[in-house]
Amino acid sequence: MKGTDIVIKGLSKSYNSVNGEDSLKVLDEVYLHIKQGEFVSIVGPSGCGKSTLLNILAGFESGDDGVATCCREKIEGVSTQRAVVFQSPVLFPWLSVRKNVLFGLKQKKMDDGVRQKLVDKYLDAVGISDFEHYYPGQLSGGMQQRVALARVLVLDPNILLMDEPFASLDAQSRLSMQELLLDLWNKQKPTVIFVTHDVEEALFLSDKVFIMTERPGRIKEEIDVTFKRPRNISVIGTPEFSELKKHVLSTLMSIY
Amino acid sequence: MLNLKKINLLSFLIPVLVLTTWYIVTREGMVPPYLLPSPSSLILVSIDFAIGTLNITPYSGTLLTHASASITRVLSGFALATFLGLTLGFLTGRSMVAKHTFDPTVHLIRIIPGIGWLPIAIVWFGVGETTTLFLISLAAFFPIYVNAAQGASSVSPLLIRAGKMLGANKVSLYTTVIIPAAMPSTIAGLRLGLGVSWGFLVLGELTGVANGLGALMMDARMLGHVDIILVSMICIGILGRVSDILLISFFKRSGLMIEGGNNEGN
Ligand SMILES: Nc1ncnc2c1ncn2[C@@H]1O[C@H](COP(=O)(O)OP(=O)(O)OP(=O)(O)O)[C@@H](O)[C@H]1O
Ligand SMILES: [Mg+2]
Repeated sequence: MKGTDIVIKGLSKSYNSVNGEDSLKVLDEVYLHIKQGEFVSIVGPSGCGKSTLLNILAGFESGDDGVATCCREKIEGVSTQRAVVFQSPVLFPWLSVRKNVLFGLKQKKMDDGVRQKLVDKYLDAVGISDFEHYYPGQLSGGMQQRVALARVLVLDPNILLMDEPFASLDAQSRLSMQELLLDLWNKQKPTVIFVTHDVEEALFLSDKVFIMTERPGRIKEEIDVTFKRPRNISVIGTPEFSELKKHVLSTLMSIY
Repeated sequence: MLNLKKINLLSFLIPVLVLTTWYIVTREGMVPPYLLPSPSSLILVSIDFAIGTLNITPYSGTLLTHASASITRVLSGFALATFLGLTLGFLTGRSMVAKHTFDPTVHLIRIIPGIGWLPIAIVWFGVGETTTLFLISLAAFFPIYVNAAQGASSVSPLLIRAGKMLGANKVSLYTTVIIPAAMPSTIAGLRLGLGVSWGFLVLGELTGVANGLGALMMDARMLGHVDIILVSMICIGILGRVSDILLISFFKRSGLMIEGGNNEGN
């Protein structure tokens, strides 16, 4: 069995406030249930705790109260089964594109020929094969983000946590990355949790959109997105899409 | 390293001026040869010092002996400093406990100028070999330590998260993320350390060892061979530069130093 659902129950998290007085409550009793293989997005006002939530799911941080479980086990520490694509690419600048993608596979015991083949496959999948010998510093932001995607997909993770991964891209490369992501998701069917500020992006990609309240963040609303797949950009022009977008936006507006 | 297009004619202005002045003042006898030999005689002395066919100084053909003695001392002192500096630097850079334990003391000792250790070193180790080694490793240790610690402590937490998330365990996180990420700063420290190694080599050798370029200078001074003093100085300059280039090319080859790439995340 490849994995099971992600269940978050009553998850709260506070940070020590910087000015030393009361602590800053960031997450307030968050409840979430995400099924295996589902593509969900999280939208919410800036500072409401989306990244914090993702960091807890990744195992980088831990909550104060409540539980976050994955495969019926409490999430404790980092696991390669929960891959992260950060808002900035966070590639290893001293490694070539190819070696960046190889990084995760090198941590595992396996035949090197198999490794190299996998790397080839994913470099190709994200369309960056021609640049395999470049260093991250020599690539554009969009290309770096592709490499960041390839280096986690190559590990075939059960869960993909993405924190505004395409926020810094221009409209065109963002769209191509979105289609690429949907395509790869279709093939590997990982669970994807995708944080974004872009409502259109959330609706275009997801099965479900969670809307969070202002800090301390909780889940305000859960919206099912049922446009049939595979989707392409034409879905964005449909009246149903506009209707849903209006609904999400007005929910977001009511939060402020 | 050497980019011909980038060499500007202006860079040659001062060296050419100096050489010309030197040539003229020595030829016209404005400066006596026992203070400053002429460029041409210096060249002859250098060749003789290196190959030993002319026998014009008592030091004829001894370059290899002296240079290899000096190189050996620098290498051993620098190696010791590198070992201690990197180990302690990475330790204090990554662990708060280690930092609180070692860092204040190291910085306290660092306040004392390296040269200030000479008398006590002579008392402890006598003149010569061990004192030289002690001075070199002591002086080279600080820049190596400080820069390694700085590099190790400023590794971006995001890079570390990325490494963990991709499956690096405690050990491989060090070898595959922390050490490479700390490299730019560490290499800067090693270069500084190697530079001061040559400086303190001369200091140590001046106190009296049999062979070595510093010892040679001192000996030549007593015998009134200013040409040999100058040639030794030039040798040390060249060796210092060559060792720096070798150090850099070592890191470039090992893939730990990137050309042209940015160091985002460091
Ligand atoms: N390590 C930390 N220490 C203290 N406070 C923190 C820390 N990390 C986050 N916070 C605070 O927690 C709150 C939520 O941060 P978080 O990054 O989760 O927001 P976000 O929803 O991702 O915002 P954005 O959409 O702008 O990325 C912010 O007010 C932030 O200041
Ligand atoms: Mg965020």
